[in-house]
Amino acid sequence: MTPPNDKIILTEALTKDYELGAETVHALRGVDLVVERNEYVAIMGPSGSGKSTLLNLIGCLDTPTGGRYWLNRQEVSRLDDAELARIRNREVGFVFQTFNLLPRATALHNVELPLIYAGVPAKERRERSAVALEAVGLADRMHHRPNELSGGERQRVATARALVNNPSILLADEPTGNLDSTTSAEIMGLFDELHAKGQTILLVTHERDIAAHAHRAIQLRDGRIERDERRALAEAIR
Amino acid sequence: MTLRGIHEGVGIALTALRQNKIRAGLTVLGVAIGVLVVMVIAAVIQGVNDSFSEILEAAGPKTFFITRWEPGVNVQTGLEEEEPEFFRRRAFRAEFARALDRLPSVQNAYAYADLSWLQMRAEAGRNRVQIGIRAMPVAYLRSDLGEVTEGRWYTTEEDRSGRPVVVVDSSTARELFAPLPAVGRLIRIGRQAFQVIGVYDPPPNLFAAGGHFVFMPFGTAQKHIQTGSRWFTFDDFIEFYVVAEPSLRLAAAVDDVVGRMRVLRKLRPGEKDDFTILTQDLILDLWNRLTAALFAVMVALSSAGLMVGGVGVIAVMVVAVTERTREIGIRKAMGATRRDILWQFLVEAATMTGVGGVIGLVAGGAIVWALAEWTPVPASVPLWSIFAALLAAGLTGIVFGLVPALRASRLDPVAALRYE
Ligand SMILES: Nc1ncnc2c1ncn2[C@@H]1O[C@H](COP(=O)(O)OP(=O)(O)O)[C@@H](O)[C@H]1O
Ligand SMILES: [Mg+2]
Repeated sequence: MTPPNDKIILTEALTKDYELGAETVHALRGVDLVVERNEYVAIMGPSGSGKSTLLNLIGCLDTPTGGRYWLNRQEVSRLDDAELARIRNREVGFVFQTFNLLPRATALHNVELPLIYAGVPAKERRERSAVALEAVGLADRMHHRPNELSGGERQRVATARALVNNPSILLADEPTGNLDSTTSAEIMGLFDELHAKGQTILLVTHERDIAAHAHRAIQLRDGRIERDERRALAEAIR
Repeated sequence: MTLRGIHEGVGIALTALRQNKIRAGLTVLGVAIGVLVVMVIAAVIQGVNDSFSEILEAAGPKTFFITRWEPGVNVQTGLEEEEPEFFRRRAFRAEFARALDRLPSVQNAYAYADLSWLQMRAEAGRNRVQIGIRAMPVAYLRSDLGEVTEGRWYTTEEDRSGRPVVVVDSSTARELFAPLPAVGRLIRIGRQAFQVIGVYDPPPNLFAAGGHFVFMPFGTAQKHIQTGSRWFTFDDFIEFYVVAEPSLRLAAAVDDVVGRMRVLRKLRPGEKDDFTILTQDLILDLWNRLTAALFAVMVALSSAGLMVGGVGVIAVMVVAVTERTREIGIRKAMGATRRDILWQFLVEAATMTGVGGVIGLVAGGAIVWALAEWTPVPASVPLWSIFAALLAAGLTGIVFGLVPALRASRLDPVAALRYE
C-alpha cells in the first residue's frame, strides 16, 4: 500500500511502549494520523500525553513499538538505523525547545551540520547555510557562537538549520517554551511565513495562543488522539 | 564520511586535548615515548649495522678469521668449575700462516696480533700516553677503512727484518708531539725505541679501533714486544686472517684451512678443534642475534609506552563521549549515522595519539641527531621506522578508542538529546 501523493504523513495504529523496570508505559496507544502537504498542525495535550513521543516517531528519531508509518509515501516504520539517519537528514527538520545548538560552533557551522551529513561539498554548504541564516534575519550573526546570541536568535539559528536541507516536514517541539512572549511571537511569525511559502509544519505546544497560529489542532490524551480540529476550531480557540 | 568530517574531527580532538590536559597529556606522553623508543633504537641499530657492514665490506667477503676465542657472547660469572676454553687452547704459532698460505684454495693468510686491551705506556720526551699495539701485516692497510695521512705505511722489508718502526694514530701523534709533526720522531714502548714513520687517521666507524694506538709490522712486534704480563705472552695474541682464493667457493677454503690447522695443532681424529673459524656469515649471524635482542627490548619499551597511551585514550574518550552525549544526540537528529559518529570519535582518538606520535618523532629525531653528532654511536633514522612509529601511534588511538567510539555511535538519539 502506498498513500497518495499529497499525504506526507500517514500513520496507522501507531503505538509506543517504554519499559520502565517491570512496568510498561504506554506512551502512544494507537495513533491514526494523516497530514497533507502544507498543513500547519499544532499538537496539544497535557504533559505526559505523548506529544513528544509522537513527534519523535514522526521525525524518525525513534521507532514505534507497533503500527505503521509512511513518510512521503515511504514506509519508514521498519527501516534500519542508517536509513532512518538518512530520512532525518533529508526529510525532516527539527526545532527543539532547548535549541540544541553545538555550543562551541558558530551559527554558520551549526546550520551546516545537516549538509555535512548529506555530503554537500564545503563551498556549497557555506553558501546555502549563509542563505538560510539570511532568510531568518541573522545575516549579521553568522560567526557568533550560541552563547553570544539571545534566545530568539538561537531559535532562529535552529530554524535555519532545520530548513537548510529543504525537508518535507518541519517538526517543532515546544519551540517557544524557553522564550518570552515577544520573542515567541517573533518565532511564530517566522513559522507563519514559512507556512505561507509552502512548508509543512507540525508543532507541539500546550499554549493556546501558539497553537492558534496553526490551521489544525490535534489534542492528545493518554497516548490517543482525543480531538482533531481544522481551522474553524483553531480560530475559535483563539 | 567526507574529508571535511575528518578535518572537523581533528579540530574537535585538538580542542578536547586542551580541555583535558592531564589525561590527554598522559596519553600524548605515553605514545610519544613509545614512538621515541622505536625511533632511537631503530636508528641506532641501523647506524651500527651500517658501520658493521662497512667494516665487513672493507675486509672483503672472502676474508675469514682464525681465533682461539669461542664464538658467541659468553658471560663469565667467575664461579665456573672449568677454566674457559680459551685458556686451555694453546697459543698459535706465527709460522702457521705460511703453511696456510700454501693451500691452493687460499690466496693469502696472515698472522696478526691485536694487543689493544693490554694498554701499554708509550713515551716521547716528557709526554706519555697509554696505547694499544696492533701488530699487522703489511697488506692490512688495504682492507682497512682508515688512511695514512702523513708519512707512510711500513714495507715488507721492514716487516721481515723487524725494524722498530710504527705508524701512530692521529690522536696519539697529537698527544705526544703536537704542535710538531710526529713523523721522524721516536717513541719508547717498554725498553725499545720506535721511529714514527706515519700517522694514521681512523675512519668514522663505530668498529674502528678507538683510543690511542700504534700499528707496527707483525715481525717488529714479534721481535721487540714483551707483554710484561705473567699470564700472557705475545704469542697468546696471535690470530690469523685468511683471504680465500676468489675463484673458489669459500667453504672449500674453510675446509682446507680447518684440515691444515688440525694437522698443525697435531689433533687426533675425533678430537675437538681447538681453534675457531670466524667467517663473515658467522659474524653476521652473531650480530643478528644481538640486534634481535635489541629489537625485543625496543618492542617491549615502546609497547609499554603505547599501553600507557592506550589507557589514556580510553580515559579521555570515555569522558569525551559522556560530556558530549547531547552533542551526539544533536548530530544524530541532524542525520549523522552510527558510522559518522564512530568515525568522528576514532578520528579524535587517532588525532590525540597522532599528536603524541609526532612529538615522539621530533624528540626521537633530536636524540638521534645528538647521538650521531656527539657520540661515536652512528645513528641514522631508517624511513620504515617513521612509518612504523606513526602507524603504531594512530593504531593505538583507533584500537583503544574503538570501545568508547562504538558506545557513542550506539547512543539512542532521543535519550542522548534529553541528557543533561
Ligand atoms: N524514555 C522514556 N522512558 C520511559 N518513559 C518515557 C520515556 N519517554 C517518555 N516516557 C513516558 O511516556 C509518556 C509520554 O511522554 P512524552 O511524549 O514526553 O509526553 P509529552 O511530550 O506529551 O509531555 C510519559 O508518561 C512519559 O513519562
Ligand atoms: Mg514533551
